[in-house]
Amino acid sequence: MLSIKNLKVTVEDNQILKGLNLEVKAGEIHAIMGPNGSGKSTLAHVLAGRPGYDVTDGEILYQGKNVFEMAPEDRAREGIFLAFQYPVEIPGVNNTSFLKKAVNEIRKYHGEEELDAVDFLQMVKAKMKLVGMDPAFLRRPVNEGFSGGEKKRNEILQMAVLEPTLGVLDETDSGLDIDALKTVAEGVNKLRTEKNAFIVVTHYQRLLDYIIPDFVHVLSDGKIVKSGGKELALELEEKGYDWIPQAAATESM
Amino acid sequence: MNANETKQHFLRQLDAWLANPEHRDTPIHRLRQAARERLDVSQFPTTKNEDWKYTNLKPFFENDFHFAPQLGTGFQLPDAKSYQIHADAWTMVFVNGHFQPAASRLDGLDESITLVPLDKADTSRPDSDLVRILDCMGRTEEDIFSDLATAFLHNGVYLHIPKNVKLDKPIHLVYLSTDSETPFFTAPRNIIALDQGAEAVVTEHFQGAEGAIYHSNPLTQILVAENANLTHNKLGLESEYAYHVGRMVVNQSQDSRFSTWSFTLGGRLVRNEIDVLLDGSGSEVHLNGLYIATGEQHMDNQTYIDHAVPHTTSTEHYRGVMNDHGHGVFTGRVLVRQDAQKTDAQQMNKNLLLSKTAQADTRPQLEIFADDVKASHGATVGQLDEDQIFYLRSRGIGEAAARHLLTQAFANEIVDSVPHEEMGNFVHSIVNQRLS
Repeated sequence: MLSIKNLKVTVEDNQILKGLNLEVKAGEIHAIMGPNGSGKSTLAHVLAGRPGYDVTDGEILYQGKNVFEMAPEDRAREGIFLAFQYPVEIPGVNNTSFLKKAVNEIRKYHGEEELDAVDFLQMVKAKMKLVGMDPAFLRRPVNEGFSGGEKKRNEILQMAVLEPTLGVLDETDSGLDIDALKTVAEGVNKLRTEKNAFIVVTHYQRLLDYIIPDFVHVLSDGKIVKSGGKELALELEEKGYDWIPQAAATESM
Repeated sequence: MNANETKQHFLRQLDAWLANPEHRDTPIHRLRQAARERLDVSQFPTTKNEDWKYTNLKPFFENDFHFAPQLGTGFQLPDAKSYQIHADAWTMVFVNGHFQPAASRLDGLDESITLVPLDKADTSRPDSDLVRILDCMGRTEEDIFSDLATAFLHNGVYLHIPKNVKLDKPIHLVYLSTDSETPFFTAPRNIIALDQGAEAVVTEHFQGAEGAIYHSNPLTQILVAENANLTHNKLGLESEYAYHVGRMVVNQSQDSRFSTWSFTLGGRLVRNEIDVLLDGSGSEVHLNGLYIATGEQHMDNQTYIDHAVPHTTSTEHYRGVMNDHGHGVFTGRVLVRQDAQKTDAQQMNKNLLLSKTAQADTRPQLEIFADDVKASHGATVGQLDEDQIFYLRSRGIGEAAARHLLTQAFANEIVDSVPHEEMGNFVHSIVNQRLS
């Protein structure tokens, strides 16, 4: 589904990703872990097409297509979804009209009929139940005045509504208490199918107690330096990140 | 024409009109003549005048406006659908300055309430309330547009609501301008007086036919007595070639409340002046405004709030959206007098520029002479937030649609605060048109 080869990215003349490789297949959950500044969020943003990131080398193929030739909205329409670490507040746009617009733009792109208000509300309310959100949020402006946990929940709601093929969660666990963390994780687990895949970017292991990854990758200084199964996350939790570059060096010898 | 030639042009017409033998020596005619005398010395402002620094009247001078010409015999009333807002409202319609009884709806209005065209109001006695109100305005102003309005005082509306009467329907005052052979001007005068404890919703609605060239020079006087509550809208839908310099003077007594929403959504050059005197403790004023200037449009809002006594409150929230070569101006002058302790004054003006050639000038002017005061102001001029645009795009919404949605959201912060649903819906649809 996703194939990243030798990805090199600079931000304001600083090279952040220095030749990253990653293969993700349908049905898989990949966790990307790493210390602050290792390039985790850059990877997430580059996948979604955020402006300001210069790709100097490498390629990303998503379902066989070169994502660099796709506008951010087209990536979303093709099924890539980024759950933001810091979702922006959009005063004046309420959640309902925002979500309805998003759903219908994506449906239009696929040549499907747009949902009317009744069908849309019915669908959204079912999804809200899934992620444990109060329907009152629908009437509120997007993320405005939401607590950290509410914002993250809203990201998962959007993911549930848009049903992406590839979900990228950028530090969705940061700033969440354990209850919110569980709800968010449950939401992801319920959305999981054999046809979609998730990339879970996180600094801490605790989210992975609830979203069990098939693969764990350690990102350090712009490269994946170590990959393994879910037990790698526990090892990182125990030992921290300091041992990683050395471990990688030892292994490759 | 230059400024002086334009003034002479107005004066020639004024002198001819004032000399009309139909004008008898009434109190109103004396007010006109007094204003005429002041016009001998007053001049049209230039950008050297601090209050007009950002508004150049040059395009206004290029026109040759004629005073409210009679409607031709082939004249047909515009379709009510084009200006109707409320399913049920007391409505008065004027076309090119002339009252249209056939289009107006005043049936069922309680007899204690006065709502009449000014030329039907009783102005024969110099001590009548109406004459006193008209007069107090005429004496205090040193502004050429106000003097022109008084000198050409011809028609408008007198609304008087007696003590403790609360209107259950809105009042809709409609000033339509149609296309005419020669550019023309009108000077509607509206008097809105609420006695103690009275309540009303009043909309002043200015609308021009496509392509019509004219100048609207309205002057509105509002008196809100003790405990009275007036909700007011000014809806500016002038034509793309129209000029509009309108002034609203508000005088508030103890514990009164005045809230207004000013929507400037049309016109070539528009200036709205609001002048509020908070003259009784516990009185509060809330000024809200939205202006959308595109093409070559110029829109200027000048507000002045005078906190004259202790314990008064004012809030101001104005927003502007400018595209193409549009130019928006906001000046918010707030005076807190030395005695006006415990004043609460808040002001916010936000401007959104959608093109490199669009322009916004914003001037908060707070003059505070009391020491126990809560006052705040904020002014911003900016573009759409790129992070917000990306967020929307990352959800599958195209870039143009994302920009449109955010621009609407910016404007809707004002539109959504309109308390009357029918008015809110009407403005929503026009704002959407203007921004698409």
